[in-house]
Amino acid sequence: MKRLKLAVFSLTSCDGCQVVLLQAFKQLLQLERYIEISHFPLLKDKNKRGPFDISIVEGSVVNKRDIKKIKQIRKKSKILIALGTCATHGGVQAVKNFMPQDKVVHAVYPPGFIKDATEVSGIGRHVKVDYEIWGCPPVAEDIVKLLKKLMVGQKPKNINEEPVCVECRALGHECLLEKGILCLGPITHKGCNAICISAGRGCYGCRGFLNEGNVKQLLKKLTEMGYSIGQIEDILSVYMSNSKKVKRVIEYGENY
Amino acid sequence: MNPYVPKAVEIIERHRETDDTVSYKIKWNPKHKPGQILEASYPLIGEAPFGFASFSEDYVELLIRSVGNVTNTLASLKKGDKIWVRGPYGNGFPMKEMEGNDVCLIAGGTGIVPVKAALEYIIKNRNRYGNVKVFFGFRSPKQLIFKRYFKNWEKDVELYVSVDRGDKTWKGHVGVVTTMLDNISFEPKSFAIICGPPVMIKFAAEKMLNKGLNESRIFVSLERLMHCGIGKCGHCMVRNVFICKDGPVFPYSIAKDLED
Amino acid sequence: MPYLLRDLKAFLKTLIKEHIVIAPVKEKNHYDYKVLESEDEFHLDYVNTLYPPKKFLLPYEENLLLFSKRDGEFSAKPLLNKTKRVLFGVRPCDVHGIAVMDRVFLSGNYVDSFYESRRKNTIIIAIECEKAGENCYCESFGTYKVESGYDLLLTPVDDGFIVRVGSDEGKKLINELFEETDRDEHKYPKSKTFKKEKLAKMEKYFHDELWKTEAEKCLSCAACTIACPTCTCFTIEDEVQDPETGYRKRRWASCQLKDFTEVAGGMTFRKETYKKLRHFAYHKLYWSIKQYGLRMCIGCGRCIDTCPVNINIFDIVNRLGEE
Repeated sequence: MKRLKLAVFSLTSCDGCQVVLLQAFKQLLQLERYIEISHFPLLKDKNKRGPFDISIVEGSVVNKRDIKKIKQIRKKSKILIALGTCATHGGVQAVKNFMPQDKVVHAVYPPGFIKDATEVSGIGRHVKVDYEIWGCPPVAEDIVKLLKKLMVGQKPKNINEEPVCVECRALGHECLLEKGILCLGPITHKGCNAICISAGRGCYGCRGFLNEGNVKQLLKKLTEMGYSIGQIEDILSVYMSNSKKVKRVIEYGENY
Repeated sequence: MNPYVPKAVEIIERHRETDDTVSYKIKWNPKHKPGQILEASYPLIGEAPFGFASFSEDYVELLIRSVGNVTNTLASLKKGDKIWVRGPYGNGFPMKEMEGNDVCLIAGGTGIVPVKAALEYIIKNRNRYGNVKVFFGFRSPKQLIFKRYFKNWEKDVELYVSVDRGDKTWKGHVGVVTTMLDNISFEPKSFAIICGPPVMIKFAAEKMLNKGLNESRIFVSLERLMHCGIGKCGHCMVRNVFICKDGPVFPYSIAKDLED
Repeated sequence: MPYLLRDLKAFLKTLIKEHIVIAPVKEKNHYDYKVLESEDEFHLDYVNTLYPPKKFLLPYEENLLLFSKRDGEFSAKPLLNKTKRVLFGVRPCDVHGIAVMDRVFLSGNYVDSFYESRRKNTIIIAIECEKAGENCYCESFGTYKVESGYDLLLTPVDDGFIVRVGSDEGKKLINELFEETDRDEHKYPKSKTFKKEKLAKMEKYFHDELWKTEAEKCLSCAACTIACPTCTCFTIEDEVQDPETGYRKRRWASCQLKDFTEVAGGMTFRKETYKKLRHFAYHKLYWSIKQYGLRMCIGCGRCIDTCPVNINIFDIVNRLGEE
C-alpha cells in the first residue's frame, strides 16, 4: 500500500483546529506505515511543496491572498478537506459581512493597512471541497474516522449530516427548548456529543447550519418562548451568518 | 445462523459493461429465484443491495454501477478477488404461475438485472412458456448492458432493443423503451415483468394495462434503499410492506398503491 | 401463586450483588435508565423515564462484525454481547415496547442474532404504575397491563409489592425475602385515550390535510423516533480501525431524517416533511398491525413529551377528518 501524502494548511483563523489536528495525529501515529505528513508548518520545519493526496485546510477566506492560496492548494491536492467552521462556513468572522467593508476595517486597523479584504467565506465558495469536518473546534475523532476511511479507498458521505438532537436524545439529555432555553440543536450538524447541552447550555450552532434545518419554525418557537428577534439573530449570526436560509432570517427578522 | 455474516466468494469473470457499470460472474450457487436480491460487500468499505442478474446452478452474475461509496469500490475489484455476499432475499418473480402463458419482459437501463435472470430461467425451461417478447431500453448505444448475450437470446425469444438517443452506429429503434410496445398486441392472459426507473415502470405498466393485461399479472420489481435485506432496518418500508422482504417483486395491483 | 415482597430495597441489594442492574435514576428534572451502583439510587417516584430502555437491547451504535486480515485474506467475526443484565423498574407500557422489538427482531424468516443475544441475557423486572403521566395514552391499547414479557412483575400495595413470576429466570430470583400470598391486586391507573373510531379508519385519513398543516411545525429533528420505544430502524456502515481491521456497525436511523430513503444516485423517495411525519404515525398506529399483528405504539406519550414544537400524534389522530 502506498503511503498517502498529507498536508495541512491554514488560512484566516485562530489556529485552534490545528491543535485538534495534533490530537488526531496522535491517534494516527501507529498508522505511520500508511500515511505521511508531508506539510504541516505548525508541526515541522521541513515541509514539502506537493502534490498531496489529501490536504486539510482550516481557516476562512477573508482576502484576495487567501483566495489565491486556496486555489493553489486545490490544484495540488487530490482530496481537499475543509476542517472546522471557518473553512466550512466562514466561521465567527463572517459576521462582518453584515457591515460595510471599510467601516469594519477601520474599526481595527489604521487607514490603508488592509487593502485586499473580501467577503468572509468558507473555502467551498472558491474551490471544490471533497469533505467537510464541522465544528468550532472540530472533534479529533471525526478527523481520524475520515482519514482512516480515505486510507482504504472509501469515498464516504460527510458524516454527521443530522441534527444535534439525534445525539442529544440518544445520550439521554432533556430538551433545553422544552425548558425555555435557547438552543440551535435542531438546525445544527451533530457530532459534538451534545457537549453544550450536557452542560445545560443551549447549542450555539458551532458545527454549522444543517441544510434541512427548519429555521422558520425554530424562530417561531424561540419567539414563543419569549426571546426577541434581536436575541435570536445574535446567536444565529455567531456561526450561521453565511447560510442562505439563516441569512434571510437575519436580514428580514420578524417578516421572514 | 447469523444473517448478517457474509461469505467471501471469488470473482471468476469480470466484464466492463458501460462507462459506469461492470458485471461479475462469482463462484456462488445459492438456491435462488429470478427477481430475488442479495447483499454484496467488501470489508471496511460497506454493503449494498443487488439483484441476481443470472439464473444458473453454477454461478451468480452481478451488475455493479458505480454511484456511491460502496459501489465505487465494489466495481473496482478484479478477477480472482473476493467479494462478500449474503442472501438470497425477497420473493422473486412467480415463474411457476406464469407457465403456459405468453410473457412480456420490459426493462430500462440497469433494470435489466432481474429481467435477465427471469429471461435465463425462461430459456432454460423454454417449452413451459408461450410466446416471449423482451423489450430493453437504454439511454444510448454506449449504455447497452449485457450486449454480448443478445444474439443467443434471440434464438429463443423475440428481443427488441431501443435507445433514447441514437448515434451513427445505431440502426435499431430510437425512443424510450415503452414506444416499442405501441404496435404490438398481446394475448390478454399474458404476464408481464417490468423493471426500471419509477417513471418508466409506471408508463410501461399503464401501457400493458391498456393492452388488456390484468394488473395482477403485471409484475414490477422495485428499488429502495436497503441496509439489512431481511426486513429489520426499516429503510425500504413503504406503507406496510418491506421492499426487501415482501418484495422486491409486486403485482402492479399492489405496487400502484405503494404511496409514501 | 403470587408473592408478597415487603422490602424492595433489600431485594434490590441482593440483585445488585449478583447482576448488573439497570433502573430509572433521577437526573435533574427527569428519570433515565442507569446502571445502579447502590439500591439507594432507586426511588419509586417516577411516572416513567424520558427515554425508553430500548438502548440496552439496541444500542445507539453497535459493532456487528469484526473484519481482520490474516495472510492477505479478510475474515468476519460476529460480535455478540452476552452480558447478563437486569432491567429493573420497567413500566408495563415499556414491557409491551420490548415485546414489539422482539417481534421486529426475532420473528420472521430471519432472527437478528445481535438483538437476540442481548435480549436472551436481559432479565426484566416490571413495576405497575400507580399514576399516569400527563401524556400517557396507555388506556387506548390496554398497555398499562402486562400478562407476559416480564420475568417478574411487581404491583405496589400498601405493605410492599405483590410479585408475579413470568419465567424460569424470574423464579430463580425469588428468595427468602418473598412470602407466598393469594392476594391478586393490580394497579391500573386511568390515562388518556385515542378515539377508537379514528384509529380504525386511519386508511381513510391518509390524505387528510391535517398531516400537511401539522407538519409545517415539524423541525425534522428526529426526537420523536429517538424517544420512541419501538423505533428500531438502523443504518449499517463500515468503520476502519486500520487498513487491515475494521468493524461493520449499525447506528440508529430515523425516518424523519433526510437520507433515510435516498437511493444510489441521489433520488429520495420520501422527501416532504408531512410524508415523513405521516409515515411515522401510520407505522406506529396502523401498518404495524398488518406487519406484526400488533400496534407498535404502546401509548407511552414520549414522542409528545420530547417534541420541541409540541406536535402531538395522538391529538392529530383524534382530530382527523374534522376539518
